[in-house]
Amino acid sequence: MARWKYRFGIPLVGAAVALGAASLTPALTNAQTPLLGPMSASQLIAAVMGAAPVQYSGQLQITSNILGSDASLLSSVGQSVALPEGTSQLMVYRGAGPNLRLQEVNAQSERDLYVNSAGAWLWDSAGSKASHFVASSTTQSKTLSQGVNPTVMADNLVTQLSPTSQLTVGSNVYVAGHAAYTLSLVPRQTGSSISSVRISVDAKNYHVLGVSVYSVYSSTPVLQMGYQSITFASPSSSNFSFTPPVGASVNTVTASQLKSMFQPMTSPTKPVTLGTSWQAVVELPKGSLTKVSSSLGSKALSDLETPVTLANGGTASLIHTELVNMLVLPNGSILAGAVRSSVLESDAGALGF
Amino acid sequence: MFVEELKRVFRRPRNLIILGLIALVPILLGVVVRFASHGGSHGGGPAFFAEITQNAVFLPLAALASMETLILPLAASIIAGDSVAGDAANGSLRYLLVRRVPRARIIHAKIVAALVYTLALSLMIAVIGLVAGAILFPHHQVVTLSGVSISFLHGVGEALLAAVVVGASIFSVTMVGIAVSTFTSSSLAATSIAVTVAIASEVLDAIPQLEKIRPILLSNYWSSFINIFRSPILAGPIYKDLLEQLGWMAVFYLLAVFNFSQRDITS
Amino acid sequence: MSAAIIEADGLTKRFGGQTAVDEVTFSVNEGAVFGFLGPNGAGKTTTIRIVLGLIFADAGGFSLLGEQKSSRLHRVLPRVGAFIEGPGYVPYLSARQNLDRFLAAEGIRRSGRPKLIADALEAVGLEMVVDKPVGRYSLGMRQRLGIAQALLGERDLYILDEPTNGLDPSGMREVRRLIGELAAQGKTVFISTHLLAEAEQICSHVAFMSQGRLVKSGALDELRNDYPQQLKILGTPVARIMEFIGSQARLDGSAVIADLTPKEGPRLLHAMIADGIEIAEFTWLTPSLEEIFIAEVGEGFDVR
Repeated sequence: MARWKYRFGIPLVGAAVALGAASLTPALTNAQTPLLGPMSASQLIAAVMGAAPVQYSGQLQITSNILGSDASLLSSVGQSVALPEGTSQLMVYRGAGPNLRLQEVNAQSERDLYVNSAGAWLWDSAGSKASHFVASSTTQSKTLSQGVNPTVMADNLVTQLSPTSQLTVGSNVYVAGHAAYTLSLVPRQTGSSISSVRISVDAKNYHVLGVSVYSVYSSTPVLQMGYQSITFASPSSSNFSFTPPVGASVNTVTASQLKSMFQPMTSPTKPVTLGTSWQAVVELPKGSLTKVSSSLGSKALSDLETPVTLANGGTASLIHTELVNMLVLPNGSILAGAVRSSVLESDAGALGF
Repeated sequence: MFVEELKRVFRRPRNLIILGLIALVPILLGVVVRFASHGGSHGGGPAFFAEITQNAVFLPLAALASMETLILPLAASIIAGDSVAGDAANGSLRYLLVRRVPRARIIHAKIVAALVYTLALSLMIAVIGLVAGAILFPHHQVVTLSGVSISFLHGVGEALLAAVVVGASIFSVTMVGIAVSTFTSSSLAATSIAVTVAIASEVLDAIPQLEKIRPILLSNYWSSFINIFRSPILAGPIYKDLLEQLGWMAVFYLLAVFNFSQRDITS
Repeated sequence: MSAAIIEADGLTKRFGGQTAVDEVTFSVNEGAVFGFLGPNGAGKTTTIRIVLGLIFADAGGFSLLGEQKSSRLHRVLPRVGAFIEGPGYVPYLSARQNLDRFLAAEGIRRSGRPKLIADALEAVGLEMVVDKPVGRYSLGMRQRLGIAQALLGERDLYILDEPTNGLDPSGMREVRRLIGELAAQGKTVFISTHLLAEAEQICSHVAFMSQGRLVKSGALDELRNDYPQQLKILGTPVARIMEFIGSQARLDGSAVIADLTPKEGPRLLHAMIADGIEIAEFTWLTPSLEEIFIAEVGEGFDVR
């Protein structure tokens, strides 16, 4: 019947077109390979390092799959872990000088960091809490404004890892609609749990648009930080100033208080580092995990543990994630690093276990 | 024809009762929060619940947030399911058709009328919520989620904008209801199917393993209206929501129009 | 055909595997009161719905007031008043609001509507209840309202499907009177009914439907002439009457029955009176529509 074609055929075609558009549009834009002038890895690194600061606003997405298949087990406590598992969205507004606004967008709330030359405000809409960091110098607020930034992350990675890495320029991609080069770092050393690090660099202004860390245990990136959208234009200045609303609880933190807050991190009990570069392993003193384990719940943590027999016959327990492995030695101290467990075991052997 | 269809919808006692009951929700919510809870628990519950006592503007928003997931889709489905099936069941559909009214004009009038009703529902919640909120709670400057203070009038404007976004978010359900309604002379069947589609979408949206199909679920971006209350307004999720609605509407619009234009009217 | 108001040519419609209308062909001329007759389920309503563009035929064609495409029927529908398979109303609206809705849908200006509505309701005797929701009407009142709806405004063709269903005898009489008035104004009326006695009183033309097929159609008078007409004579002396008529005559009680053509009647009557025969009754027994139907279709009607 011809009429059946009209009654169901046309709507079906419509549905197919809508589904196709929904599923293919992102795939198509990602699949395209922009044509860019050839560039060597060293040229690209130099360009990134020498890139002038740009003003922009963009949506940054951070995805972490570090806990891998154990993610669902831990998702209920994931909030309390330092590196949140899953995907978080961050709106980033970067203006001239220290001006920065980070907006962590949650379903029904948000947290904001407003940074300008006068200092910084941290705002948490849940409970209307505002913290004011009074800057004593512009450099201080500039340091504060570094925050979460793919450029900083990329700079650090390249600086630390390039001597022991095989650096190549991979196929060009589009990131958030911008043509980008891909700088790929593959460890020359064996034993790392990282298989590669890929950095996407805007082909026009050499701003880093994304960083992906791939693990030997999984084909999807274990850690990904990249812009979903980005506009290189100076954001409205209203983004950088903050006045706490009436009724908010305000907590003022002075520069010296700020320094003392970071004191524990620079404490004398600095962790011992074993190995170098890709094989870097830190030795943490006994009890370092108690804080983590209490926030995770001891049951959850013990689920991740597997016993390992050491070279000297003792038994240690291995905590395995997609990126980091940790070995809890019989004396309670901990070896941790983005390396395979065999590296941890040989490091333990070197320590006499 | 469109005006006639609006009259048909808004003169129906049942539809007026639905409107009346829905109008009661923000009022009851306001009264309960104002007089029943002292201090109460902060956090948890639908969006803006914790903030209701702080500003009149948050009462309509909390009401919208709590009704967007079930009551609004249900009310929209009732009207949409009845749109064509109701006239088919009472027989007036065939008399409209033999009175020279082209089928295309009938179905378009019914689509527009049902969408207007859907929008009227959410706007009514906002207006009544604002009035009740203004009576029960303070109306000074409004603090957005970003911690930025905006004037009360600005806040009222954003609450009304939120109502428009919420109404538009339900359009897909309305259109599904109309499309199903062109197949049957049972309003109840059409309404049930539309509600089932909405709830199924919400259920699938809640299953972590189905993350891949979330973007095509009609309810995926519901509650996008919350992003109006950020500074600046975060338009991305709202555009995605509207685009989602447009996609569903386009498909079910085609189904409604082509099925209705080519179908035998045997009722 | 020049003056054909409705024409059907081989109309066929199947629902699932069942053939509801099977190659139905007929034609309704201007000014006719056309009776579309048959038992319930004979395919009458389906045919009417096809002609009005509500149902799409699987095969065959039709024309309504000269328009042949379903999609363009709205050009001629303003000239048609239709009542199809019972009344159709929004139950929570009043009679006035319902009729107003139909007129508005048709594009008739607001100012012109009250008069049309009042006229139509008066014609069916409903002027007292115009503002009551139709849902509270009795069955008969709703039926009347349905007919009022078909009578709204000036039309050239009225298509009435079972208009007397659910009406009491006086209501039926009123509907017959209304149809008579329409016919007197030169309107074409297409009426479908399963009540043959009713059709016999008002129709100029008829068509018989049975199990989806059109069995016979034509002018009622011509159809009758296809059947032998009987003459019944009561008088004295009976023997002389028998003699006058000859071998055609037979006796039924005290009456003489003869199969003759009507035109022979006057001369025969005159001759018998001149001969001194006393005539008490001289009547043509025309076959009833029901008799013709049974003769054609070979089955009875389940009337009512």
